[in-house]
Amino acid sequence: MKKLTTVSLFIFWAMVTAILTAGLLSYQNQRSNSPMLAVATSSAPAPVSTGAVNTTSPILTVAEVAKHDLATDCWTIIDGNVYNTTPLISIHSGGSDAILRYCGKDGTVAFQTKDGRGSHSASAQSMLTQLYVGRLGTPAKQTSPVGTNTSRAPLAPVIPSQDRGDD
Amino acid sequence: MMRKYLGLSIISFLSLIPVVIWALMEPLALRFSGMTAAATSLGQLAGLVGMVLFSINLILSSRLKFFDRLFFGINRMYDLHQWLGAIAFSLILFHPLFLVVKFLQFSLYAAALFLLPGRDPAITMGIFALLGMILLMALTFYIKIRYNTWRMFHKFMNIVFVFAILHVVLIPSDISRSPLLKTYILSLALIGLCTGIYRSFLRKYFGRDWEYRVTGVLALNDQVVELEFEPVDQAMSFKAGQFVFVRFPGGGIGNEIHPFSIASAPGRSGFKMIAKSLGKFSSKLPLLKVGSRAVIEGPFGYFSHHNASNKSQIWLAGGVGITPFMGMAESLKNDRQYAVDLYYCTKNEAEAVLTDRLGQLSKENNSLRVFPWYSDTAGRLNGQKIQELSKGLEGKDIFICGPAGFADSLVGQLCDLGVATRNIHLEKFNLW
Repeated sequence: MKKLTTVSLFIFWAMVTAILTAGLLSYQNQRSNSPMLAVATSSAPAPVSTGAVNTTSPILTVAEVAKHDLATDCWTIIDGNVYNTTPLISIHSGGSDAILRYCGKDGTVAFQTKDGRGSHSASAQSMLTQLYVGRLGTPAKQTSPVGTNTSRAPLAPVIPSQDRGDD
Repeated sequence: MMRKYLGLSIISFLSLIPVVIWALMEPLALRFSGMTAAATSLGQLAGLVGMVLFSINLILSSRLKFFDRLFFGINRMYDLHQWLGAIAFSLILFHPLFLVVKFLQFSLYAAALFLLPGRDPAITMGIFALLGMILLMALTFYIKIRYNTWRMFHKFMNIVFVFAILHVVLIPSDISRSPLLKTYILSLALIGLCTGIYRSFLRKYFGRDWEYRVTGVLALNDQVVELEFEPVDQAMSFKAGQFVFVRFPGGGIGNEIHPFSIASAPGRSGFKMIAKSLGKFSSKLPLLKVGSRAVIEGPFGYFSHHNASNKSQIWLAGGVGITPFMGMAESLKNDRQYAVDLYYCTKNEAEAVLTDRLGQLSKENNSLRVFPWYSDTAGRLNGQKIQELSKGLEGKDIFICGPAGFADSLVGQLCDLGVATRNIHLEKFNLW
């Protein structure tokens, strides 16, 4: 049994060290390549909006998003941005239903509040940024408070000292 | 034979229940729809089963008499406790490693964030529990400390377990989404926590122990001491070959609790114990005074000549492993149906402090033949020698008690000579 424990511990520490090191290097790399990201992550709480609109990303309409409402092809609107949430369905720790419910629809409130149970972790938010498809081109149904800019840049990863929860 | 595995079967069944509930919650095709989904599912399962085994291990640590019956000896149960602890620990280590895979497919940074504590109490509790477990397991496997110090630190496993329960309660997961799974996991966890706290902190005050007094302290040589005990009130009934846990509050040698085999036959109100100076505690036993208080927990164990199918038996004692055989040899006087060959193995004659006593028992009882064996002159006792001297091994049950190296070596040789494992009964002296 000592061998089992030793092997498990070795694998554990090797992987944790590798991931933490690689993650830190990746974060430093992102910061040095993206001045906007550096400004955002040093000053704003998550979820972060830089206020600068990414003019090169596709502009999508609500009708366009609504076509992607299947478990095999699932797009969701969060905070005026469109994300392909298909890869998250099978791995979401809150269950697949929590994502499937918003395929082709606006899931802003659900994402931001975890259906009333709190906010998503920084790691989850960071994951979501990788799934960005485009932004809504026309004002969608008002799911955000009045006066809020509903067309924002995608969620940016936040610094480790920021809010972080589970995914 | 099947009854021997009943305890293990119950533990396996209890571990399988959450797996089945989990499997029925969502289609397995979705759970294992790709590498990432499969890794996430394995991470969830590792957490579930790890938590169940952790809970069961705490329940076992209560050392209830019931477990002595279920596992055919509390010493076997402790063997299992160690294995379950190692398996639960490994599963809990792999739990975050599998779960981090889903972040790796998106970004290294997200994966790194997942492994760090933050403002989310659920993840932070989990990390505290894991780090606490790593520290305590390191103390168990890799850092040599005194037994009593190790026991004191091991009680902190209860605190680690509290962090684990908080993690389970707070984290959104299959457990939070399934009332059935939540009830099962938390019920088992709460039972584990209660029994762990009882054993670690409360048993001293509420446990049922036997009050005895030391009535004799006899040094058999400069390393071995024999202690005699008489009950203060009610006498404990025991079978020859069993062992007890003993502590001597106010005896001037510390308040540690240690296991010792009973070295006398039942039938009298008191009993004897023989101990060799192997550690800090046992080396202080000769300092005990007659009249010292002794608190006895037990008896435990199934190492008895009565628990064998054959009355023709071979007993193999390595050094101080002779102690349970003393009681068994004495009790043969009352049962002439047995035919026993007892091999008393020591390095030399000076160490064989009980040869005379055994010789006397052998004279009084034709059922018992004693073979002193000194490894300094005769080499190590082996299976072939035993087969020669005892005129065969067939149709006999073999009892072995002594250090692990002695026992393991002989078991291997006897099995090679065709002795079935069901006919070999083992009591190793390195469990504690």
